[in-house]
Amino acid sequence: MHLDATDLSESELRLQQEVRSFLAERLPPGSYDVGLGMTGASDPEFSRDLGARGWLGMSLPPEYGGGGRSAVERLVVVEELLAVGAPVAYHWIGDRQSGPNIAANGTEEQKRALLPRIASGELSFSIGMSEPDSGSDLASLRTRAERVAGGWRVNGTKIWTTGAARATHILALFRTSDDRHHGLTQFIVERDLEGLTVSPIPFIDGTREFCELAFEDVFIPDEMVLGEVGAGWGQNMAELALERGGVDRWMSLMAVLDHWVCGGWGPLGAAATADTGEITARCWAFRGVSLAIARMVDAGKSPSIEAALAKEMATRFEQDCVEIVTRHYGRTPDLTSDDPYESLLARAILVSPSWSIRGGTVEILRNIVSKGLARA
Amino acid sequence: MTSQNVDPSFAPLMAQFFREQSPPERVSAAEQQDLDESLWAQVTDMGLPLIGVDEKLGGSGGSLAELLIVLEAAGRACAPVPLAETAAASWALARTGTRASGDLLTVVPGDPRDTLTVTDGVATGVVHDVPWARVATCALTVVTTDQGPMLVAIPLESASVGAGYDLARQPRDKVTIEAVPVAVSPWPGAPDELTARLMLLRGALMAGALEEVADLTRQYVGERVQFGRPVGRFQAVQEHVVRLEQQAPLALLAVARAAAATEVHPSALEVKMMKLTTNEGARLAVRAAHQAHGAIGMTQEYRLQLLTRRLNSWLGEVGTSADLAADIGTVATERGIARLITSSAGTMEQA
Repeated sequence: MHLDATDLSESELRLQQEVRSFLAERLPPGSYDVGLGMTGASDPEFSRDLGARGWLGMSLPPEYGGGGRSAVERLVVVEELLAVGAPVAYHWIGDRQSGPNIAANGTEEQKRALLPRIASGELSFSIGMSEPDSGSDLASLRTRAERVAGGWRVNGTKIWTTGAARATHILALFRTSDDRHHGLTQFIVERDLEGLTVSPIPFIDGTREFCELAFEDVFIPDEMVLGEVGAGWGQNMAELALERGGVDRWMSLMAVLDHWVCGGWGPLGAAATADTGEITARCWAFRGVSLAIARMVDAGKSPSIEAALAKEMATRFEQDCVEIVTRHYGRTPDLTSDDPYESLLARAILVSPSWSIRGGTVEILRNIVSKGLARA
Repeated sequence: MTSQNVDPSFAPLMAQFFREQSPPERVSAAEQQDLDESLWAQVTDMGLPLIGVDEKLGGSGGSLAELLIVLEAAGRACAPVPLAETAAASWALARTGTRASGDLLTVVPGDPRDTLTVTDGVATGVVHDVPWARVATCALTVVTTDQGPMLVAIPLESASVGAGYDLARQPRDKVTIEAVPVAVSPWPGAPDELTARLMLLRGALMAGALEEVADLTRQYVGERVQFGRPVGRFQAVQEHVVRLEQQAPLALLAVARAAAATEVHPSALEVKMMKLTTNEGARLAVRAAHQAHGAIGMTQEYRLQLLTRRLNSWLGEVGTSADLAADIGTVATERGIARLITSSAGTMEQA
């Protein structure tokens, strides 16, 4: 892994100021449900407001309603949103990965139909990958799409699909032949298709974002195949590689951290101040990594090993932060507290184990890195 | 490191020079003497400690980026010479308009036990843990006086130097002076800018050592066979390799970013952030590398210890984690973390 030092340009700094001014006005403190990074609240109206400012689908081509802007510009917007725990869940997956995936692999019709609505904040995407018997070993998945006249008939179960209950679309990976890696195909699935049942799986903190998707003879027309039949594994891996190096992998707790650091729970003593210093320095380091990776993406590179290395340490760091803040909080926080930050810290204690699981467990990431090094 | 405006052949050239001239046997041998004079002569003949000092002032010219490349290469090879110290001291003298002498110089790192006072150009007191003091001509420090910060050059021939050692058995001495006339020049910056410079250069040495530790470990776990396969195939060992693959580039990136920040503000908070994260990276890397190597890594005949003893020394001096964390934390509690880390290089204090 080699990362080049980079900084924001004048125009990128101007964008940062614009986003800050917008957020100060649009999300004054107390006016919204502060969230934990990418799993913040779902607020379609807020998502549409961001879309109207050109801050969703920023890297999508302008001819499909995108901003034609860079990965770094998207990072500038996203880090401001995550810093205040903005309600980003509705558009998050579509903006971060489904949009770019469709732009890279979609047909002309798919791009025209979907990308403008992702960029406007109208659509909400979910990712249908894991199955009851296929988690980290994704290539073993069994939900099958069989060829029928004009399309495909899908049977099987997807599980642990975040946000599927509110999603308008699910980008799913199905088995289309028995070949382990070359028998997988990505499909764009409309959430309200007949035969598709979405059932929430109550999450550890009582929320109902996690879902199970039951497909019973669901018909999906040919037009909804994304990319080549049998090319789903590669497309899926490329999509995962892109989502791993971002600021969302170390900013989940940022709103709580800044509330604590800035004295929201009272002034910090010497020990807490020192811990704050360590956390700040590590955030600075991770921010440099995410920025360097975004510049590599903009230069046309595919920094998948870098992103895996970054996510492996960044998600563990986020978990360290939860432990440190909790220790200084001095008592077990109450999930039902009127203090939104106390409630959020309680939620973080409960959900933070998922941070090093979602999007590739740390163990799988270490495998990816080791294989990458062996090839290098 | 920072690749801007540096001839791409420079880094490989420096890497080759130090690999050839500072092999493990020579590094080990240097522990039995105060200084490997001939290696130091080679380094100074090439003008390496005076990179980043204006040619008009007798320096070698060149940029900070080039100096950092030299130090990274020196750190990789554990070069047993006071390159960072002489470079930082020469830079400090040049800032006051003093011509470079080409002497071996050092910097007072600053220690709570220090008692140095300077009155009317006469210095008295004790300074601790001064690297290479016994072989240096002068030790430089910035002292705050009624007339503002002053750069003070302590002539070591007039000092009593008590020998001490860092964990890599490099000189780290106690310097005592009693009513010694010293050269004093007005310092055109904040008092902490000299320490920041040394901290940055030490960071580059650490980054180089971290790269070498990662390379050495990756190679070892690919060759060492146990249970019928290379130990690097075991997932538990891969965790150590991953840890090392992360820390070296993190350190290099941090050094390059901190260097960019010093071009804007010579004692930018980024330098402290770089040192704190690199200290932590070194701590993790030392553990991971030794664990992956097993018993052989604990022996003097294998060269891992040359690297890990240096890292263990460097992470505990010229910016200790406890001091750095307290300083950075104090700024963070005033500005907030997100605001600080999203500001552009060298502007954190205005965030």
